[in-house]
Amino acid sequence: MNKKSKDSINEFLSSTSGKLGSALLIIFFIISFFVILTYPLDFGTTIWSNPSYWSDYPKSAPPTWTALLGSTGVKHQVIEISEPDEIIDIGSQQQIIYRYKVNYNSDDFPTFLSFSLYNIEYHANPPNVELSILRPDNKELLLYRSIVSPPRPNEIAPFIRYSDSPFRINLSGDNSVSSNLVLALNKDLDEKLLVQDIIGSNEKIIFGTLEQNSINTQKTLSGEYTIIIKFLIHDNSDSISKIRFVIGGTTYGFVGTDSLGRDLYLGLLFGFPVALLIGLTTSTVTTIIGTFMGILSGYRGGKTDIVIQRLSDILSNIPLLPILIFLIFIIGPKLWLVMLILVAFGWPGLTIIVRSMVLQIRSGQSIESAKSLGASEWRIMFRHVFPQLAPFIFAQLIFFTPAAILAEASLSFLGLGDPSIPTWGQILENGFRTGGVYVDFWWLILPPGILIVITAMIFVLIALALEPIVNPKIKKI
Amino acid sequence: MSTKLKSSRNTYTIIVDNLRLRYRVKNGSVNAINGISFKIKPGEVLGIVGESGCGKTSIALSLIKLLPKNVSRFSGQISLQGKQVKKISEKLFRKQIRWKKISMVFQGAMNSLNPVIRVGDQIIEPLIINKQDKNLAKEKAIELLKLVGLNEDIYSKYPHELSGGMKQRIIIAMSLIYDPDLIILDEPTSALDVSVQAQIMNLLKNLKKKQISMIFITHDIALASDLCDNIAVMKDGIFVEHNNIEKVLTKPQHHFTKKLLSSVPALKTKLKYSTRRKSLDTILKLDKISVDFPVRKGLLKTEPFRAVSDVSLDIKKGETFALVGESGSGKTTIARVALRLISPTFGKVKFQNKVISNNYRELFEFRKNIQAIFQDPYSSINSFMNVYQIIEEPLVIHKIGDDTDRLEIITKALMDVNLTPVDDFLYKYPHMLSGGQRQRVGIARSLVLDPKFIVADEPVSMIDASSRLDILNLLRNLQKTKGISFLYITHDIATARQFSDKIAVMFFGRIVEMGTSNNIVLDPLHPYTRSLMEAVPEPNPNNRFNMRKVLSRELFHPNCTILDSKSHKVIDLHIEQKKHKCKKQYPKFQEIKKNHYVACLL
Repeated sequence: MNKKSKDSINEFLSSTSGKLGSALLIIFFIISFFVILTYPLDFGTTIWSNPSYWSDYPKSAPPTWTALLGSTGVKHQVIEISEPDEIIDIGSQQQIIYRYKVNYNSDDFPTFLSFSLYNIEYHANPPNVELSILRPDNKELLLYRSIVSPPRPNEIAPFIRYSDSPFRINLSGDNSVSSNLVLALNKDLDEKLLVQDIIGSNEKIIFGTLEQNSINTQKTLSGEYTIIIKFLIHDNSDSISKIRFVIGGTTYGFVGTDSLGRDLYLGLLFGFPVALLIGLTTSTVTTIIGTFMGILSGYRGGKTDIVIQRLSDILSNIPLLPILIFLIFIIGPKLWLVMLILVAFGWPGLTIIVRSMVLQIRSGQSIESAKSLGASEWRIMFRHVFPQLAPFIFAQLIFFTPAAILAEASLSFLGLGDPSIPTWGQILENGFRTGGVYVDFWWLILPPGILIVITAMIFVLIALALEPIVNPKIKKI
Repeated sequence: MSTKLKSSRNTYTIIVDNLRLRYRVKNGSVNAINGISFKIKPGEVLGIVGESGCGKTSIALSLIKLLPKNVSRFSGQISLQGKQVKKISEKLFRKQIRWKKISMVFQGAMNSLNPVIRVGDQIIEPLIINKQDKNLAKEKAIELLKLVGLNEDIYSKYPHELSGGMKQRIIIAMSLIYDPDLIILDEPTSALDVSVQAQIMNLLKNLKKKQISMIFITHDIALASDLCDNIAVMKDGIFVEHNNIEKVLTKPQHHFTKKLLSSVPALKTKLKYSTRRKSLDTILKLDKISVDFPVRKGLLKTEPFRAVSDVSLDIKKGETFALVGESGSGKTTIARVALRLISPTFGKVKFQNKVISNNYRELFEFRKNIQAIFQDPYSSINSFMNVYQIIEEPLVIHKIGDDTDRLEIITKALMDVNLTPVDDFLYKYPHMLSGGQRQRVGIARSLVLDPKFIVADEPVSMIDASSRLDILNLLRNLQKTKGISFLYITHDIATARQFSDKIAVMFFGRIVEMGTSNNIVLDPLHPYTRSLMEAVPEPNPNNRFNMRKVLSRELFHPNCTILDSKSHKVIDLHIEQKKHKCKKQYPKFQEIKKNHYVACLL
């Protein structure tokens, strides 16, 4: 027996499709394990579906490597500073100065600028914050000035601010930034800037040559910029843990980002174990139920047959979509519910086919001979009928796997997917819904699509290689 | 067109010289034909006799140029009426030769008639394709229908309305549509009943008189002798013997020919053995068995169809009882009742004087004592199990012995059926075995429980001719050494006579004649039995000149058979065209001679 299974494995691996299919499947499993080990369990809720997590990412940015193909983009830069550059005592107060030098050489403007403060602790009076930028033409522009929120009544020192979520300013669209820019620049300009003209495009003023007045015709000023952040603190023990300055790029990551700025690379990776879970679980359970019911129905006949067949008729004729929408309305969009429904409505089709095959097998001589040996019904069903169905069932199992993944993708496409668990279907749907097809945001559509196709292909390749082994009739002598 | 191709000087329809054919398979190549030569004159029939896989069909396909794509070598000369056929392009061959000069009746073609087209339209299809006038074509088809012995009104029938014999006649008519000079018949009578087979052979004899040459491919040398002038015995791609029929039948040279001839069960010669111990204990008794099957009439209504009516059998210990009948006679239903696979609608099955009820435990015990050997060794054993598992199964079901005991029992059973060395076979899967070996595995399985009774349902009908006799001899030896009783179900009265002590002849669900084998075969009383005997082909070179006196089954009226006092034979009043009043009741069994019963009126 042992030798036999060894032979089977060798035979399986000797075929090209077997090699390719199993190699791809192994890669799939390795990626899945990697994801299971490294991702937080609540990735979907805390990261993927949490817009604030993605606020510092560029929206709908193509993959970084597209820059190699010609288009000059802006590199996405996240500048995190935690060590101060200089500390100056001013009487009882201290000024903490952070500086960071950035070389900016692109012809394009950054997509956005943002500034965040993390975890500020103060003991008496709230610190002042001042953000300015020193341009290559030696103009220092004050961008933002603020005071950390003061203590609430009855609050006891130390006062901790921005520890749960950072204090974030979108510099491109902030009203006070625009006002500051207008104030600083208008004295040198002939045609005065207006706040309402530049708001939303502040980065074009900050990184612009300022030679033209119109925002839309601004050119970038290349050179070294220095970001300067000044804190005025009133107590020596006051502290700031981290400052973050983001220059929004025009490209991002390996597969780009979607309209919410989500890094698709992370989402697609997470899709691997989810796809395998959906595909394998749903198809296995469906095939087991469908086969069992089919054999029972076909072999037993009589009342069992009538009950099972009518049940499958009813189930296969109930419109799936309204039921699903109704259930999702009541229970909420849960992945297990989608899988349960795929199983519940998937088995009848298989049962009807298996039953008709069993009816044919049942009248064969091998069944008659087993009966005349005195074999019990169960023995005949699973020792004699089942093996004759096995190749078909196996093919069904393998072909149903991508079918289940596709079914989940289609349901996700209708917006019925579980938002707490990102799947390829949802990523595809999101890309499609945000117009990925119409505005050539191919990176929203192609990667999830290709992954779904590859998954389907893996199982087809495996099915092709397995068939001659499971079916001894076409086995080599 | 045909005059152009025909060479007046050439007297042969076809000359084949040193034909060789090789197929490419997965690991290398297989020689199918290794140098074959033959000539056929107009109106002459060549019989190619050989077992499955010997290359007979490959010859047919190479003559009509329908070889599969994996041919790696195809050499030799084929000259059809003086014209080299091999060089002709496929297009020209299709236009001028295939079906016009050479046509073919494919094996099992009668089952591949298109079920949704009227058979007449299927016959004239080639003419319509070649844009001939439909009315003329129809006339031609009706002419052909008459030639093959069918009525004009068959033209507008659908295949499901016709019997197997009629469908085979249609296929033969199809092959005649262009008046070909050569017809290749590949097992044209396989899967037909003996009496229908004899009728088809009569039809072919008639065609032969019309100067049509034929190649008759068969595995049955006796059947070939019914029609052929020359016989070629084929084995492993060569003709081991090729001569005219008298010489092949009377003075066979090659040992394989001898073996084939010896495996033809002799019908009319007296057998010598009768040394069997006679026992008076009944082992299995079928008491007035009737079986109804529901037949759907309309949407919800079912009507019973009586497959078997009022059949009583009494099988003694150590005896072999043969049940002979054609398809649809209910013999297999009797086998299934005897095995209690189905319950009789009326009547009782008694095993060792105990009525077998539907009680589960009782049936389980009963099954231990009664085993079955089935007709088709390709489907009766589970192809997903190896030989060990197949033979072990009854032991598993009846929880006998542990692993070492079982291996011993299985080894012994394999030795009993001559599958030695045992170790070579234990772990093989059925598809690695030949038909005869598979049937031996089936027999070994039926032996491991030490049964007292075995029902053998046509155990040799699907096995190559040369191994049939071995299997029957094996069964006979087993019976002798183990004292097992047999119920032998067959359509072949000749093997029944060889193998069994008693024979019962079934006709449409009833037994018409019953008695000892010698009585039945040497002195058949019932007209149906006589017709059945007449249909059995025998290796006699003179057969090809005589038509067989076989009557169609529909002509018999068992209710109106009567014992003719003058000739002391039972006659059918309808067939003899005597005036009489038809009886509604089936006649009672009469013991005409000692141990020889016939259902007839006195």
